Amino acid sequence: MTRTVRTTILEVVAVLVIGVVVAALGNALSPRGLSWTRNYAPARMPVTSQPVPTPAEIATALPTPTQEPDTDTEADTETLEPVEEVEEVERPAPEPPAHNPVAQGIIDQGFGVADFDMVHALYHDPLYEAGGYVFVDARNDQHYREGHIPGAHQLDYYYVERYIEPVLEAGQFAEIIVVYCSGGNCEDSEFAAMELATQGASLGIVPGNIHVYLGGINEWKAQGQPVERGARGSGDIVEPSNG
Amino acid sequence: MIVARLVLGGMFIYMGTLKIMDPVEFLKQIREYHLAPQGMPLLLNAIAIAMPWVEVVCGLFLLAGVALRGAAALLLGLMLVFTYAVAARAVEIYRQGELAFCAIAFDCGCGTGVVNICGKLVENTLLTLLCVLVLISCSRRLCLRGDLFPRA
Repeated sequence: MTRTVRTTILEVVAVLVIGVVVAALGNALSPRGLSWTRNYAPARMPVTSQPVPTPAEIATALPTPTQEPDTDTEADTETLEPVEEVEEVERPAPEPPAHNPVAQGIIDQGFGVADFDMVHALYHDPLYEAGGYVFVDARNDQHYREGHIPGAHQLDYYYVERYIEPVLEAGQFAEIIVVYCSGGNCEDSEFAAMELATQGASLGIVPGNIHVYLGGINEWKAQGQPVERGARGSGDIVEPSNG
Repeated sequence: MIVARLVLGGMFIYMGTLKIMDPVEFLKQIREYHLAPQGMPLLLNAIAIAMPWVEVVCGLFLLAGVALRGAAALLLGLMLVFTYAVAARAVEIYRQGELAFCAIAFDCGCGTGVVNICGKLVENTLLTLLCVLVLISCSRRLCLRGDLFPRA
């Protein structure tokens, strides 16, 4: 091996080592730094537990807005506000996710798949304001602040430890948790659902209560629905334009 | 040679910085290339964390005239690997759909968003040639320390 080749190889190694050291320092100091060891794309783990109820089954099982709340359970009366008589919200059943491998993969893990009709119905149900349903936005800060489903919690999957506590706190009392991201090929909602199920298991959050909204925020906006900008509860609601 | 160093150095500092600013997006993009087996998150994460910084360091070395051959050889290696990966992914898309090859566009993970594949391949080829030029050049004008390990 000529001296030139040898010295070039040594230089490559030296530059690479310097680059990796700088990378380690930069990654450690950066607020956007990644974990070296975390598996950001966990494999799906099919479950053999009870089948997840379909959105239609959920709709028929839930009390209608005109029913009196169950007074036997103290916890329910503490968290639910008196329900006024409102027009019954129709909860149409979506088409089963036939030939949709993404949806089937989600179902195989014990989660549910939500479509726009189900999400829309839950959003307008009085139980949503009462905390019976929880929406979780699995996108990063920038996208979340640009617009999210009003009242949705943020759970940036890639920095989950910063966001999960309030989501678990809200989710442990929720009957249904809907997780979404941008929609389309976005997998973050599925990963966030898996993380919720794992970390929320001790709090009673089970996969059967978690539904992944595959259409995501893009479909929500395309359907002309309002979005909330900024932080959760900011009140900066952008209504769809009429006409 | 100085122009080649400036162009290469500037390009890699720019592209590396874009990736450093959004490491999650870069991680998602390189996952698409299946550069690391599913059960080896450490390797995938190491690539996502280290590669952008290595690009910036190499770019700075080229601009400053430090370890020119080492920086150029390292960038040449990166260019060959990712040009192959981008081309392979484009071929995969081409075989699945009805698009003409040069009509294919996707986010290559280069930090510049969605790019046209033919334009990207031309750009990568030019950058590869510049890497080769710096690698084989003996010029050490305007260099702080062109050779880390003296040859003579």
